[in-house]
Amino acid sequence: MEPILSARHIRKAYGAFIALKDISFDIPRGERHALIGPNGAGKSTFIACVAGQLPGVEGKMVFKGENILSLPPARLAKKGIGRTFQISRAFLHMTVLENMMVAYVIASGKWASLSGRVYAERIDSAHAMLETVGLAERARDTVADLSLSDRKRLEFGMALAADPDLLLLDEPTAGMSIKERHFLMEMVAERVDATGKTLIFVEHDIDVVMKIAGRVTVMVRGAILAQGTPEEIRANDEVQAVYLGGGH
Amino acid sequence: MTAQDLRTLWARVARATVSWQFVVPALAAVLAINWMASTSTSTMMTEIMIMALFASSLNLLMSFGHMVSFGHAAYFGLGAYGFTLAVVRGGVPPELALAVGPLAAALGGLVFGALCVRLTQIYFAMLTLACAQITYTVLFQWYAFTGGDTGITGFMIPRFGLSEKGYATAVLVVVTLCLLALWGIVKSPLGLSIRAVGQDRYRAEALGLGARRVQLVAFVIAAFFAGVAGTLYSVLHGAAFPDYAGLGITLDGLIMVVIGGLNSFAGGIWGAIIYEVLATFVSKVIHEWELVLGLILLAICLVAPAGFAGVSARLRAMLGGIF
Amino acid sequence: MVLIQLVNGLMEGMTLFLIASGLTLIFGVTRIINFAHGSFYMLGAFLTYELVPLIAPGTLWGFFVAVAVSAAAVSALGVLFETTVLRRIYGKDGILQLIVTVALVLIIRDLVRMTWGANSVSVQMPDALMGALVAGNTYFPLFPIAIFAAGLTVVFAMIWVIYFTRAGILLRAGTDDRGMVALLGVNEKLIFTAVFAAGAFLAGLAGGLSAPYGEVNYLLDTTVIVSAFIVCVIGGLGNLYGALAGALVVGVTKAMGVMYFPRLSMVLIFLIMAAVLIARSMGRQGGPAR
Repeated sequence: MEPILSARHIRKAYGAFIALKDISFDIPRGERHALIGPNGAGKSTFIACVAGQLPGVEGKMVFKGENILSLPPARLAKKGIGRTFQISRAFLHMTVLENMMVAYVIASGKWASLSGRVYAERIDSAHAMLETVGLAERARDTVADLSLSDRKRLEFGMALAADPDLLLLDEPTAGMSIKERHFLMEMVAERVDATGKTLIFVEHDIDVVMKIAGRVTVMVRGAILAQGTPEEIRANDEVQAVYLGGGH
Repeated sequence: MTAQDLRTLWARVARATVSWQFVVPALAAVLAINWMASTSTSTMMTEIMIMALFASSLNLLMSFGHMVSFGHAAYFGLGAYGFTLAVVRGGVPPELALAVGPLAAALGGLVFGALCVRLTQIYFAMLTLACAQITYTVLFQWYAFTGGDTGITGFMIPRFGLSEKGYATAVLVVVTLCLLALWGIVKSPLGLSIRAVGQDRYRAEALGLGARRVQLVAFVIAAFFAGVAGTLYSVLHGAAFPDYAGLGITLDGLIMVVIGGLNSFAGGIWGAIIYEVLATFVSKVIHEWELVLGLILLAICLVAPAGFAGVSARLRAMLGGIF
Repeated sequence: MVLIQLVNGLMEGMTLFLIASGLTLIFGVTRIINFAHGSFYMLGAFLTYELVPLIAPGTLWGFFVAVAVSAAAVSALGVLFETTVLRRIYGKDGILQLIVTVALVLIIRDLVRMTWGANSVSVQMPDALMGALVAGNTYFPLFPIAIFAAGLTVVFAMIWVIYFTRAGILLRAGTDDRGMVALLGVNEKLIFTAVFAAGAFLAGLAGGLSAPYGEVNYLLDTTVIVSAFIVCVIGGLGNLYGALAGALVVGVTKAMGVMYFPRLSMVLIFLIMAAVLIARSMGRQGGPAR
């Protein structure tokens, strides 16, 4: 099957520091793909390259047959790339419901509308999504009052509002308890499968990776160390040595 | 929470509901004062209403879009000069020229705004300031067209010949309609988008919203309503002066928003009332009004950063909803 | 004539740089835009006006001493403001920070008007700088050249402090990463105050130095701050060399523009700024990576 995303010779340098050196790989449609690796390996940088937030990236990033490297984030979102941020970036001073409505209003493309009908047409979808991510009861609360894990779920729901083909989750479970991590990622996996989306996520918890990912890319110092199914990665001696350290 | 609950909740949040039980008495009070008071009071009320509209247009940018414009007077001035020059140089009948002022301001907002929204935060503020100074300089120095520093006077009967009281009533109608329109915009999907970009533009962009375009729309809307205020002001005095686009008016607007209360729609209105009333009475007592104003501002920033709206909200919470 | 205007432009550019560099330094470390920086400049000019006749009117050393004392006084005022007011609002809403400095503008302006009245005053030029340098058949006025040289001395002093002293290292660390300073075991508050003092000093210095060459009145604050903002926008905030380049461009353009388009020299500067901005914003897109 034709890959939904193929990176070709992606290279990004911050001055003398090379964050990504010649990264090439394909992500087939419908795959749940984990990016793992020690801090500074270039995982978040790669996510940012796909999401269109970095200037000066070399190479080619083909998404659904089109090179997307120079496109601004908003265009990429419209082309079907949804994302969450490493540090939760829901709109802090809005309520949960307002956040979700922002996502749906933007997804509808009618951001400049003055008509309340835009709201009326989307309030039920917003409700359904809040139910899905388990936040319907918190609808009237301000994001600033939400726990970290609730914020992450809200952000995930907002990213889904535009019905993207590719979801990028940058450390979605950072700072959560083990139980919360599994709960969130199982929900993510279920939603992704149910709607036929492709998922790329950065994750440090190997147990979560093993459970959720269909395929795993291990990055070290801006390069790909290994790639394969979770089982293959677990069995890979080099990965064991560099990253897993035999601890698991 | 069921879908029905959510719909009800959203209707309460997002519909541009107006608490008529508050607005109607307020309008009635304004009319009553206007009816009974002296003509000079009527003129002062007219100025307050015009400045309330101007400050509210700036407040759309500041409180909702988090765009601190340091040059909003440019659009007040463009409104005044758009109207005036259309009459004087364009030969447009004054009644028709009323529409030219706001449109000229909106056009100016489009041109300057397109440039300004390329920048964020403090650079944005500096560039808006520079744009306004340019406008001011052109109005001030282009004698052949704008009359230079002496401004343009005597081209029409002030207030279209209406009495002070009559014009105050007309302004009340226009300003009320404009404020309702602004309130509707704040609550509309567009308003939600403006708020989203104001809070976190990168998040909004990641969701598919072109932040600059949203900011530009907000900028043009704010410029338009500032232009309405400028036009009304020009009609009030039957004149236009470069100072209308000067830093003084910009600072007045900013100060009103801060006094009235940031992050509150009513902030601009409260601020205009408090500022103008204070200015009138304080400057009767002492000459150094700016000194007093500076001290008031310092106090507000240090003690009550939410301004009057914040204080009154806190009071209301304390009194348990008597109002 | 062109050359004379060039000299005048360079002098104005240099004083603009002194102001803008203070603005930039303060912003780099505290993230506060000091709207009252033009007021500091104005105060420096008025204090010099008071001090020159008291110290040694007409002499060169008298003038420079008066300017230095004025700048020090302005700096002290800056410290007072920083420690009593600004310190309470670091990290708060950016709008509030701006408004606080606007409040200071209003206060200083009225105090100046109360003290020195609404009319312009003029400051006596040192006798030694009254003349002109003759080159061929062109007469270059001495004063702007001297002020340019004085400004240049300050620039070199500044570069020396920033790059070759411990204070400079701390300053650069504070600009890059505020947590870093705390790690180095230095009181962050002290750095903020010191930077504000230095910035205010530079503004006062600029005001004092250029006082004899033009009118000194209570309206100086806003004209100066607007020019300084334009310089910062052109040069990029927090960038000292950018500020220098921006200041010289603005100064020279202003002076030249006065010759060819007397009415529209501000418009010319605006166009330059717009061009720089557009060029710069095309070069970058998007935001932080996370």
